[in-house]
Amino acid sequence: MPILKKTGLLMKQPADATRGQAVEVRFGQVGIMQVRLRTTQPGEILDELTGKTATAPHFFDRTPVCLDLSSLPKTPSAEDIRGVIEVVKRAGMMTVGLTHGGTAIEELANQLELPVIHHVRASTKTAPVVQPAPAPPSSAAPAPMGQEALAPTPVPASPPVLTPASAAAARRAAAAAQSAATAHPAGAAYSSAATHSAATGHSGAAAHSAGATHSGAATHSDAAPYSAAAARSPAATNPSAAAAPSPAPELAAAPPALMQHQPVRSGQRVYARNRDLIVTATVAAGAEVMADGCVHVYGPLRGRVMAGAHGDTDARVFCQSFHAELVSIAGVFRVFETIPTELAGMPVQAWLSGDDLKFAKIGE
Amino acid sequence: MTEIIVVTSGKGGVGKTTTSASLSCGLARRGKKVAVIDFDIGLRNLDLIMGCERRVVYDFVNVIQGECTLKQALIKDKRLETLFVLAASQTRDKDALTSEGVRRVFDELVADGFDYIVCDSPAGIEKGAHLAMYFADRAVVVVNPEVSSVRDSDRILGLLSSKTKRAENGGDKVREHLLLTRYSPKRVATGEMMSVGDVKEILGLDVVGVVPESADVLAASNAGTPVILNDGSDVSQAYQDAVSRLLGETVPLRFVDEPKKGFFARVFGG
Repeated sequence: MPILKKTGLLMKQPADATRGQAVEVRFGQVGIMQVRLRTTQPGEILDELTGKTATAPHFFDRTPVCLDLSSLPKTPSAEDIRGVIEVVKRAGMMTVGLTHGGTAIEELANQLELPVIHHVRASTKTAPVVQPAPAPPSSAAPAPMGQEALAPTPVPASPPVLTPASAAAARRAAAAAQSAATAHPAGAAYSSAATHSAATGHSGAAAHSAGATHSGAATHSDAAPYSAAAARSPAATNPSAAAAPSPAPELAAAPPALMQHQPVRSGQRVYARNRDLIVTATVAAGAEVMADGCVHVYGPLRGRVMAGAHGDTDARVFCQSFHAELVSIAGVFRVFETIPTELAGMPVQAWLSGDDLKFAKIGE
Repeated sequence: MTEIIVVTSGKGGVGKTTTSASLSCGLARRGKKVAVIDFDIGLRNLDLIMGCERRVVYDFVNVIQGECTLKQALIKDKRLETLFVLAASQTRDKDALTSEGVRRVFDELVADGFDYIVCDSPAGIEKGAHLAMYFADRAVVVVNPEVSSVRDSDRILGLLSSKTKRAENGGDKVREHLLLTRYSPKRVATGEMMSVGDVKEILGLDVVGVVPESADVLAASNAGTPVILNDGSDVSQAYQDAVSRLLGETVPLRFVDEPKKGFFARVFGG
C-alpha cells in the first residue's frame, strides 16, 4: 500500500479577513489499494474483480484503488484505460489514480484527468504476504461493517492485500525518517527471522536483539511509530485518536476501536475496518481477529491475529495471554507451531521492525 | 412457558443422542411435559436409544410436509407419562427439513403446553444442525475431553451466538451449557485426558454436567433404555445432577475426581 504524503499547509488568512476559513488543507496519509493490470480486456478484468469482490462485498465497496500499469506488455491507450476504469467501477471500486511509471503514464494520466500517485513502488516485492484465509463458511453471514459488535462479527473474507506490504518500503523511500526516539520497550525481543525465518520468508540479520530499538536519524515526527504516540500528530487532539493507527487521522476523526466483548469462537472472524480492535474475551484456536489498526486482546489469544490488515506497518498486536497460532502485521506473518516458552501465556506485544516481526513481553 | 433446548456438539459420536434421551427422561421424571425431537434426518437413532423404534409410524418429516398430524407422530414413552418422542425420518435427507416447517411444529408443541422441547442435533454444522439450534432458548453442548471435540464445540458455540433466532433478533442470547461426557478422572490424573478445568477454560463456559466414561452407556443404548433410568449407576446420577442444574438447582459436581484411595494408600501414600 502506498502511503500518500502531502505537505500540509495551513491557508493563512489575511490579517483583515474574517475568522472563518473556507478551506483548510492539511497533511494526511492514506493507504490505497492497487490493482495491477495484466491486460486491458474489460471482460477478463471484470470477471476476476467481481470474483474477488464477491468474496468480500463490504470490503471492496467503493474502495479507492489506483491502477498499476507496470505489468502491461505495452503502454495502453487512454481509451483502454477508460474501459478499465469503467469495469473497476462496475466491480464496486473507484479508480482514483495511476501509479507512477514514467512520462508515458504521466501523459496518460493527463488525458484521463487522473492524478499520478507517487511513492508507489510499481513492482513491489510480494514475498511476505499473509496467506489469505480461506473463504468464510457459508454459514457466516456478512455483518455490517463498523457496527459495534455485540455478537461476533463474521467478516466476509481475508484482508484484500492485493499488492501487499509496500508501505514499509514506500515509507522508507518517501522519508527515510524513523524517529530515533521510538525505542521499543526493553526486554527480550525475539526476531522472527532468527527463529522462524522459513515461515516469513525473511532472513533478517538481527538475532535476539534484546531491547531492540528503531534506529534512524531524522525526526519526522509523523513517521514515528507508536511508542511516540503522543508526538504522533498535533492534530490528534482526541486522546483515542492518538492511540489509533488510522491511516488518516487528520482527514477525519478516527473511529473508536471496535469492541468485541463476546468470545471469538473457532471459525469466527472479527475485522475492524480502519481502526483498532479490542477483544475483551477469548480468541479461540481457529478464530481470526483482524484490524487495519492495532489488535488488543485481553483474554487468552489462541487463534490468529492480523494487525495492519491494509498494510499499516505501524500497527501492533497486544495481548494479555499469548498462545497465538499466527501473528501477522501488514502482511508479515509468523506461524507458531510451538510457542516459545518465554512468551507462552505472557502478556506480549508484536510489532514490525523493518521486515522483521518482533515479539516481546510487556511490562518488563 | 416452553423452553427449547438443543443438544449439540459439532463432532459426532460424543454422546448427543444419549444425552438428549437422558435429559428428556430426567426432565419428564421431574413432572415436566417433554418432547424430544430427532433432527438427524436420514440417520435415525434417537428412537433406538429411547426404545421405541418399533412404534415409529410417522416421523418429523411427515409432520413438516403435512402428511400427518403432530399428534399422530408423537410417540408416547411407555415409562414416563409426560415424555414424547418425535422420530427422524430414515428414508429422507436433511433437505426435507424447512425452517418454516420446524417453526410450525414448535408452535404446535408450545400450544400443546409442553414445558420442554429437546432437540437432538445431528453432528456437523450443516442444515440439520442449524435448524436444530435455530429456535433454541438454551443449548447443551456435549463435549468429550479431547482436543478435536473441544475445537468443534467452540465452533458450535460461535454459531449459537450468531446463527440462531435469538442472535438474529438481538435479544437475550441462547443460554449455553457445557456437558462433558466420557470423562475418566483416572486418565485426567495421569495427564492423558483434558480436565474439566481445561475444557472450561478453553470454552469459557460453565459446566452443567460431567458424565463419567462407563460401560453402562453402551449396555443401556443396546437395551433401548435411556441410561438415566439405570438408577444407581454413576452415569445415571451424573445425568440426574445435570437435569437438576438445568432446572436451576445448585448441585456439586460428582465423578470428577479419582475414586478415593484404599486404606493402605491413605495411610502410607502421604
